[in-house]
Amino acid sequence: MEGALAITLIALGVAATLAIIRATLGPTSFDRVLAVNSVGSIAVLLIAVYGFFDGRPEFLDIAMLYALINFIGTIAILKFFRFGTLGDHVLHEDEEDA
Amino acid sequence: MRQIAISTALLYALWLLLSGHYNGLLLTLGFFSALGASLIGARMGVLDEEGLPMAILVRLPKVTLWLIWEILKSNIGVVRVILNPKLARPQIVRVKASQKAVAGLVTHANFITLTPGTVSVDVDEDDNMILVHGLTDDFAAACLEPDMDAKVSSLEGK
Amino acid sequence: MSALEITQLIGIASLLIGSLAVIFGALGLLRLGDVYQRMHGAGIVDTGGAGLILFGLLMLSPDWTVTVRLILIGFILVMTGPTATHAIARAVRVSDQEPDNVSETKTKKRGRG
Repeated sequence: MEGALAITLIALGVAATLAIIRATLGPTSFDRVLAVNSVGSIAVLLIAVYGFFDGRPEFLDIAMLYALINFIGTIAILKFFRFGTLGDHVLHEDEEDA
Repeated sequence: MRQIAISTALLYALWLLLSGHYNGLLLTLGFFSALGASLIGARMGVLDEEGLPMAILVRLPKVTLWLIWEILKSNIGVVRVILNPKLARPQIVRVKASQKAVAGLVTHANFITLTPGTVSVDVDEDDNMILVHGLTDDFAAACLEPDMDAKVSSLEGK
Repeated sequence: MSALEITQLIGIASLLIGSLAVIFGALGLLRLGDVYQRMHGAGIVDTGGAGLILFGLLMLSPDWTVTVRLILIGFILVMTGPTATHAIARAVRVSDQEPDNVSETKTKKRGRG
């Protein structure tokens, strides 16, 4: 069982590396956001599997929070790309856009 | 009022499942935090049919197995394309959705994105159209079939 | 073989297949042609990979509090993953960086937003 968990951890590490390479290469900023979002998903799995590997399943709480923050972070970055701010006031200026 | 009760019940159930401490004081505090969160949600106006689509949530288990099977099938298809990127024939198609409510339309778009090989790019609420990007001809064609549309419509139950 | 061993075996098999799926998904992220196609690679990580690995952990879970948390993580990933992907796809579409090798039938591009 430990062996399978270790293999899974290594596979997740390799996958995260591949995603980070894509984030570095780009070429558009959306590629980078997509790759970073995938790295986040992989990190959630990594935390969960590591919790089992270490025999401390409390790590799952952290994985859960990471999943939520990963989503909010992606949306925040996309909104920032579009409007140049995270506040509400710019939304009123181009209301016909929203 | 009914929405607040349902939301409180769901949040309290979640709290009970996650907490692991079951003495009187903590149970009471947990209940009041669930109630407070629901009241704040009601004040924000997010507890409507769209924010808490009970009709869909209750019937969700019905299609879960079918959805998992679809996801596994298309996973294999996408892996085949990844191993040989020349097979990719990306295209954008319009899919007609028959759902009446916005929550159903969103569920349909989410299901389309959930199955690898198809991503919903844009949702048109006025015409009930979903713009779908398919990785190959097969994926795009599978999206146009009325299968998934019928399943999501059965979730709405009307 | 006892029932416990069988669930363990299913769990380990699921973990290993899930690892493969995650690696293939990341490989797709790296290999496919443009940003839309790469989303399908990311989709494999979010659905096949995450689903199988979480199912594998579910089979190995020692008690029910862990099971509940695993199911919740799965639910959160299933709810947020497609939404994030759709947000990125829509952002690409309304931006000016749209890849032009997409054969678009019967549609015309809508304005910004």
